[in-house]
Amino acid sequence: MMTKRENALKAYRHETPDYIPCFLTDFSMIQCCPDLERYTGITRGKDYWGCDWTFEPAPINAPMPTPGVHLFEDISEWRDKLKFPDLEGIDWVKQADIDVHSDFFGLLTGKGITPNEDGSSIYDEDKKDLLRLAMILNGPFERLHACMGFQNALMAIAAEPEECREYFKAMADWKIEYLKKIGKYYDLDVIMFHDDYGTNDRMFMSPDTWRKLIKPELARIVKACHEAGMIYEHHSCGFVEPIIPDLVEIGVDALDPIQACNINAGKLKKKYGNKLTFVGGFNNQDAFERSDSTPEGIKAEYRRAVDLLAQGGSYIAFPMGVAFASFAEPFIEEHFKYGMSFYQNPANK
Amino acid sequence: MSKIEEVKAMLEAGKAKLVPGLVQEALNDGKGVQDILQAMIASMGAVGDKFSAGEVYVPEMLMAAKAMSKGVEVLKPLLVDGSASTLGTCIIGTVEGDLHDIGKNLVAMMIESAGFKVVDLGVDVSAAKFIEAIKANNDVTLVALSGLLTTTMVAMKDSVQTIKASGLTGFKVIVGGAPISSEFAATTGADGFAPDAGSAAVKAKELVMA
Ligand code: B12
Repeated sequence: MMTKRENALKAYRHETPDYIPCFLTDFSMIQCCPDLERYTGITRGKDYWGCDWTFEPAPINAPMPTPGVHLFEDISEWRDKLKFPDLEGIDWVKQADIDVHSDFFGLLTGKGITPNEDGSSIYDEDKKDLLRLAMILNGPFERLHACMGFQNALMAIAAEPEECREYFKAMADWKIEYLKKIGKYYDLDVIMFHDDYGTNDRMFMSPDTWRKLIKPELARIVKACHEAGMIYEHHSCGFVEPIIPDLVEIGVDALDPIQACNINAGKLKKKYGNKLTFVGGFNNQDAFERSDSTPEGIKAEYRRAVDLLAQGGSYIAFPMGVAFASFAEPFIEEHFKYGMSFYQNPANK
Repeated sequence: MSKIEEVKAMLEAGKAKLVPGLVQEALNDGKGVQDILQAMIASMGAVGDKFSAGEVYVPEMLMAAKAMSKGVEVLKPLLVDGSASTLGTCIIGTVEGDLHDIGKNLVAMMIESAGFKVVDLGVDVSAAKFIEAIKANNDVTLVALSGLLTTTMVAMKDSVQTIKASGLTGFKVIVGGAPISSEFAATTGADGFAPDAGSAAVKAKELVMA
């Protein structure tokens, strides 16, 4: 019998696994030195870049950039004001030991960084079954707006694209070194690299601007991730249909969460599913987290997305939202009822 | 090209550094303050339409709005009451529990560019704060609520209903944000909805001129 990890790896290789892999049941998740990219406490503080974050309590349970506190507001200042964290200054052996023992879902539920209560690590014998994924927050675009404020960042992209291009290059260089450290000091299968490019009905910047400023750097990041021996999954909220062919071209292995505003996801899966694993595809906004959401509605949405995207494999179930707790139960219930046997139907293989 | 046409072209291209100088030149050429202002309002309307049509994106729209406000600064001392607004005051904010503000800010800019005076209450705004602001400002003709989280759609509905039940009058209420549909908007009791910042300005005008 295949382990959950082997089963999920098949989906990441764009093959048809035995059953639909699911983030909530088949994965171990960690962050590699989480304070690097985001403040992890539960009041207010800085990450290693000096960006200022304020923790938002339940139901959000996550830090938000502290409004109005910026490292710089003029992109021409990035060289002076942005201090790239010294990756050599981190004791990675010690850090990795902390990270693999940390309670990931505790962090997501507002506990800050705490060790697993049972002292377990993702490498333990009884967790060998699970696929290991590290989440890297604040990709190059997100870091830009964390540093200078969202609107300033967007205006810089329009007004000073050359300077932004230099920033993106430098940022990619740093991320690549970070990925090398992860490859060396951790034993992981997948990197989930966050950089949101989509709003609900369009991309923040035009696809062409994205192609000029971000794509070449992302291509280098993807390559470095592969060279470090890990699968590259890109996370972008919102509408990203126009750049899916580009992501495929630069070697991105998987994309999440493919929000339902990507209305052509079904067609795109047919076209690119042999090169890109589709992760998610759920209409979280209309089905999962509204005051009128019901367990039946959540289950129906599970089936809709799976029927649309899971045929032929190369698909992983991953729900997104404000708080998993509010919809995880019916979601997992339907996953066991429908997703676990989905590929037993030859028509779905 | 006439000076006013140059102002329009540079505004639409988001040239915030050039627009004030061109506005000054147009004034020097003897163009009327109101003519220049109306031309800029029309230009921002055109940018809004292009945004709605997906021809320009958020960065370009922000730059155009910045160019507009720099241009208006030149005109301000010459305007009768120092204000470019002709459509009254719009109170805008993101509803309680919600910190997303990019969409709200874009809508505020477009509404301002259409001829409203805008009072922006920021994010995480309670119904009580909206009501306080309606009382504290003169000539409030529009109240605009933004919401990006499905978990705060209830707060949006509550706020609209509290505002409507407050006994205050003279304004219309408009709502929007990623998870908001026109159907949901109708259930809140709001007078209007728009899916994006370009159409928000069009709708805002329509509501207060009706
Ligand atoms: C950028 C972003 C953020 C940024 C916000 C930065 C900022 N200063 O605003 C940050 C990173 C801080 C953030 C935080 C969070 N976010 Co967020 N975010 C987004 C994202 C990617 C884009 C939103 C955006 O800025 N769009 C750009 C603007 C231009 O578009 P817009 O806001 O839709 O506005 C347009 C229209 O809607 C309309 N409009 C807007 N307001 C109004 C008002 C009126 C009156 C009218 C007429 C029209 C109108 O016009 C605007 C312009 O065209 C969306 C993805 C998505 N699908 O929308 C998620 C999203 C909204 N976020 C989400 C979540 C879950 C969160 C967090 C809880 C995540 C977390 N745990 O960290 C927190 C919540 C914080 C809080 N309390 O609010 C979810 C919400 C899910 C749900 N159930 O609703 C989304 C949908 C992502 C997802 N994958 O599901 N987020």
